[in-house]
Amino acid sequence: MIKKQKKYIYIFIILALIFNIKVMYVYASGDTSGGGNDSLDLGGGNGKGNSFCKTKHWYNPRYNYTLTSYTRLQWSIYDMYGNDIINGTKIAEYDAVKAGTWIGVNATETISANYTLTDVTATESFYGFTCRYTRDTGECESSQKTTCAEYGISGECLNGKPSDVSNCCKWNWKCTKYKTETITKSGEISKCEGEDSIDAKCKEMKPSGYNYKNGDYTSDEITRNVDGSELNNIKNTIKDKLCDAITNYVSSNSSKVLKYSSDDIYPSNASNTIISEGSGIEGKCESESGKKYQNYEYVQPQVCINIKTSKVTYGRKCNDDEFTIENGIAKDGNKYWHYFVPLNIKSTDNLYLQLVSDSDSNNYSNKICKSIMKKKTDAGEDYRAYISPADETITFTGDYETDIAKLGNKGKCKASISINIPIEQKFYNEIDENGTKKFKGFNFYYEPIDISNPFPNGLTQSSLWYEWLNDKSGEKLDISDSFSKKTYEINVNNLYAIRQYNSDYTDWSTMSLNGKNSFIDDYDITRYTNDFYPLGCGAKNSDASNKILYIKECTTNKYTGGITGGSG
Amino acid sequence: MKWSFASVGLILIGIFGIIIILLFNEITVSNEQDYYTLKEATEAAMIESIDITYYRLTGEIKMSQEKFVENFTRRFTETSTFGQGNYKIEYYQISETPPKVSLRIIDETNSYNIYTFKSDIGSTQAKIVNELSAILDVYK
Repeated sequence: MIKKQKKYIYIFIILALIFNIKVMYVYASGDTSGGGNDSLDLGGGNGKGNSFCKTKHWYNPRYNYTLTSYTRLQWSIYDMYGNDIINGTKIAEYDAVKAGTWIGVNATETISANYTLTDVTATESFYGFTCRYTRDTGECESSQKTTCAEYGISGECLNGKPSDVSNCCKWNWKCTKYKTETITKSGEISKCEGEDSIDAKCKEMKPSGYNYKNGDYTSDEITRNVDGSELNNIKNTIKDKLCDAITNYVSSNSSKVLKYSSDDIYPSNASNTIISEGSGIEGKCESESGKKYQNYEYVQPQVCINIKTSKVTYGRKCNDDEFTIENGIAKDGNKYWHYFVPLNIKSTDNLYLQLVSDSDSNNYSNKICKSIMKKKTDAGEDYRAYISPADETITFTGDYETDIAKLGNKGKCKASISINIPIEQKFYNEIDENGTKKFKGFNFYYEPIDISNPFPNGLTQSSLWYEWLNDKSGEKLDISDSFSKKTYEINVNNLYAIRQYNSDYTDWSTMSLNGKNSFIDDYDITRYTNDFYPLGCGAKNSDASNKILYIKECTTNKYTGGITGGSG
Repeated sequence: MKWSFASVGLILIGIFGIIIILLFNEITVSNEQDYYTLKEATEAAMIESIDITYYRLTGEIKMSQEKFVENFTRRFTETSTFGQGNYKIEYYQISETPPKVSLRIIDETNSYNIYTFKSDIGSTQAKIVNELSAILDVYK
């Protein structure tokens, strides 16, 4: 019975999750209440290491309790400048992320559980026991022999039943008279009362003149009310059990995983490489209430980008041709890791990110799942932002009736949050063809300029040169002075030599990470300058004070070698 | 007799004129060829030299300076029609971000010496020189 009750406690905790969903996080909460007689296991056994005895003595607590638990999944998405770009449950179109670039992801989960304990009363049950004693009362009259025999005395009493045993024993018959005594425990109970101890107690309590009849006793259950410090001890025991329950719940709920739309080229699915870092269980348990919680942060420990191919990989140590992308700190102080958006995603294809529970034991029941779906539908929200089917072969459509049918009467759900991130394609040139977007070349173009008046018609704000055009600092690039300083020079006397160099133009194998090209040295091109950035580096990421992702290799990789020609 | 000399004179003048026309035709054709080679090679080399890693990290367009020099040199030499050409390619101001190049092509394959009647001045060499400054910009 007690074990069964214990099992119910944990089942209640898990099954009683009722959701209250807030903006951009899942707040999954539930509560259950209970109480009554013997609702908690207070221990058992014969006193070996337990404060209470169940065999011969036990407490019957009565109490009311409420257990509440919730799981909150939350994330923030940051732009390159550390601004949180989630507005409500969406990312605004004007915060669209450039295809190929990155977003900062801070994903956390809070597991919390608490209890309240009220109306604690208790009774104590134990066995009182009756000992049997005997004494020699002399001989009985013959008329009383029968009566004595009824009392199990050897000999004969032939003349009727005596008024009491003492009368019986006035006669010469050697009768044995017995006396009963009830021993009621009192005072503090510190150990179980086993049969041996009862036997010893009976011997100890033997009345004068009587002989204890060894092992001859009976027992009855006796109940009394408990109060004072004894009741406080019981409260503490119940509190400890409730505290254990919420602590176990908080510590056992982790292992979430981030999923997102994968791409064959950029980058591969990173879901298996995300790890959770628990903050440790916090909170406290007091006599009438308690709360325990733990925060988990889901992080990507390693993000690497190949400097020459720009391919991004997650979850392994970066090699020599890769930059290690360190976690960043957002403006709000949160730590985030970098997720690189596929480069070839079209602006019509939103990037779908989802954070979902990866633990089957934490699946929500069919009833709770449907409850969430209805609640969110009634509120005009898309429940897919908060839950997803536990069965991954099922995909919710967002239509309530359709999805309820899909879920059936047995389908379960996982807690999840998801978001669609609007994308703007700035690398490839998109054209509309029969209502669909297609790539046609790059989004940038070549244009010859007159160095004395490079932009006679002005520039739009999206132009790469807009900032230059409006730079009044006087330190900007002097285009009018374009031909004053030679930077490289080659005399091509034999075209065939260079033509024999057979390599794809997009092959960057001759490039060193510091931006230096061995082709220039190999084909006698005179270099008059060493003023260029390492690969992957530029003004935006070479300075730790810059607001965009700083790469320390952009400083350490800088080419400082000599030039091969004069001043030019 | 007089008409005979006149005819010969006309023929000589015609031949001289044709020579002049052919000369300038070659100069202009070479010049035009060099210019378009320059333009096309520059455009291709600039786009091929985009540092995609930098774009992925910052969202900004950057061109690798040394990659551009390699690609332009290769492209220009591979598209020149004169097998044993004698060119000088001079690179000047190259901006990686925003991308901009300035360069000069000196075609020494088709240079001409122009002599004056004053021997103390000597000859003046006329070379076909093309120079170009170009940028990359974005459509939107």
